[in-house]
Amino acid sequence: MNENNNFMKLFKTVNKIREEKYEDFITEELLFDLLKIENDNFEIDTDMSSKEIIQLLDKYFEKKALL
Amino acid sequence: MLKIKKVTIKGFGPYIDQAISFPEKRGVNIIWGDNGFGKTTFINALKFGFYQELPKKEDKDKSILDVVNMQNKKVNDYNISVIIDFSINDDNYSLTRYAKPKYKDSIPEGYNDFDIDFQLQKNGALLSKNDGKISLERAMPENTSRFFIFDGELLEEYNKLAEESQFTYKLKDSIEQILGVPILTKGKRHVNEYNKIVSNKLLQLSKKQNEDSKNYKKWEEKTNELKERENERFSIEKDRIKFQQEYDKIYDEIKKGPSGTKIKEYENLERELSTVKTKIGMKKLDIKNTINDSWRGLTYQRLILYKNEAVSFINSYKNKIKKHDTYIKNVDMYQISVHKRNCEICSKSLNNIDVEQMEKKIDELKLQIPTITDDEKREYDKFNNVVTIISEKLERFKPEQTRLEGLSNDLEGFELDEYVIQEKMKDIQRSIEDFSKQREENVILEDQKKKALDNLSNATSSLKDLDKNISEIKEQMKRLESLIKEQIDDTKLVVYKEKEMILSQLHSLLEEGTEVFRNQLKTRVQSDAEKLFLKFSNQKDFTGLRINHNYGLDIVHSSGEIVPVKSSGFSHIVSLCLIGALHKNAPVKGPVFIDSPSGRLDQIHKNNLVNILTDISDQVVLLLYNGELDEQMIRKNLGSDLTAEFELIHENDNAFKTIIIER
Repeated sequence: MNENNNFMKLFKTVNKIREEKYEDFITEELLFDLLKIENDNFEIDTDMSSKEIIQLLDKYFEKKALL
Repeated sequence: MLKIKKVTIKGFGPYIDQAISFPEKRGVNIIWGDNGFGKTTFINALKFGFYQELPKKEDKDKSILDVVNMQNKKVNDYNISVIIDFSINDDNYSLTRYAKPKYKDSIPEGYNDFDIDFQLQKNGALLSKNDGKISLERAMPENTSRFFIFDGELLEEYNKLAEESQFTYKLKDSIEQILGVPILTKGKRHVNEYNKIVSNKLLQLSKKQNEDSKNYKKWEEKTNELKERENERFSIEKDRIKFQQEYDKIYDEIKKGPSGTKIKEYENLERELSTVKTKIGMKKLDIKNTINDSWRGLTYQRLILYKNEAVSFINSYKNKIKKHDTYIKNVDMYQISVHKRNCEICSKSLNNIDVEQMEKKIDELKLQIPTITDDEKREYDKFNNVVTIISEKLERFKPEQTRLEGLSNDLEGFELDEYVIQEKMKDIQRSIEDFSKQREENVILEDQKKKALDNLSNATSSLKDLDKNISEIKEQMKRLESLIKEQIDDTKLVVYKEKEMILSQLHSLLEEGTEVFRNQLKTRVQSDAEKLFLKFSNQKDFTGLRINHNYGLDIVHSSGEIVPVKSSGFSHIVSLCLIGALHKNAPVKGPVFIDSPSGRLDQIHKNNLVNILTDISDQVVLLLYNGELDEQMIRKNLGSDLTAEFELIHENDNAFKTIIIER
């Protein structure tokens, strides 16, 4: 997803739902980073994004002292 | 945005060594060429370059030999290559795809006698095979290629594809990929994968603590039971495959006999019946949804009344403002006249008496200026909003009776088709049975077929029961797992429980996000396709397009009714509008190459087609046969948007050697 406009539209859509229902569990930063990883790898189906998502979530849990 | 800068084709079709460079500027490029001069081959060369795709032939193995240049073949030169230079934003790429014979001293006879490979350079540096593959897939995803490079003649197939169940998934999937939905669906999958790891870890830790518990023992029993059932399933599945093969063999044998033609007829009818049944199901669903929405029709008249009231208030408010402004203007004019002692209307100079009269007039006028209160201003804004909202939504509130009648008629038609097909099938079934009774070997074959079918049905039914049982066991295990997890109190386990909870929340968020985003996309695609359609279509009664859940498009009539797209010309128009709307909303923007774009369009729509080309993509390349579109009309309508024109000609009338010249 190369054009930022479309990515931002997608992010804003999901972030609105996050703000309404999931604010206590998911931060805006986590959601943005996760979607950005999928965005950068979206045209292809490789393990790359899967690995990056695991790293991202590990980091998130570390911050929340859940590791 | 991906832009193609240059295409070089060597040894492919009638192109011995030809290159074509497209201008950087946004616009439309045209390649003119009569039949047999290499327009379709040009499209095929692009598909070979990007996807290693060769024209579809019955004998796939020979398809590569068919594209080798005939003149080169005579001198045993079987090398082909396509070089595509393109840019994505600020990066320049050069893709070379080639096929060369594997063995120097022998003539290749099929696909396997060629080495086919590619190289991709990014900004002058050669990428590794893997990076090249990834970059290429990112640049031009193969399963969305039908929206970038296509034959205009096939456009009318799009809407048909969206209706046929077996293609729907593929088409919907490609469209959703072009629109970027996989960002969310893949995100969801990856979060789920991670959640599974956490969940298993949690279960392992829990088990250690609960080894003596009742639930854990039950869980172990269920695990063993599951293993047994799965082994059983594996063995029955093996039998089922064997029975299926036996049945197919006997059936093939029967088909070779005298009843073969009838069997083929029966199979065709079976396929037809399945399509009709799908249509009936969809129509029923449509009727159900229409009935569900029919309450809206009850408020239609009320909404019109409310809209009229609002419009009447708006008009009277506007008149008041107009009156107010006129009075103010007149007062100003009199005041200026008094100040200058010169009449602003007749330019006459004013004496004291005139001035006195004018001042009196000013006071009178000031008293007559209508007052506009803040409340009125607020009311005006409110009613303006009301009119906008009602006008936008009114169409949806139209009584659905006419639409329902149309749907019921369609349904009746399909049900009649279903009945007719079923009756025909019964007749054919009877004649097949008669055939089989006529000769002893037929009777034997029929008997074998019956036995094989019985075995197959038994195996299939056992598998169905087992699958049900397996899914019940899995469900029970899941319940036990959550009970086991609940009984834990260790800090480490609490951490895992919290992780599991966050991940499941994240999964739910992405799931909801996907649905909302999908709906937004559909609205945007529908709206953009509609804008193009209104510019394209010459039928004044057609006021819009409506998208369905499979991304098929229907035409909306001014009466609000949905008009099924039956004409080939309109299928063509609607599909082009869909492609344009997809490009507008797609994250991966790219060029559009269309071979023979005018299809079955009439003259007026051909002209309109030219006018919407620049709305479809920033880089459009049309491959036209001479006379397909009026050259003067194209040049006039496109003006400076026509960036380049090329022509395909045969050098010295040699059909095996096409050269590309710029006009």
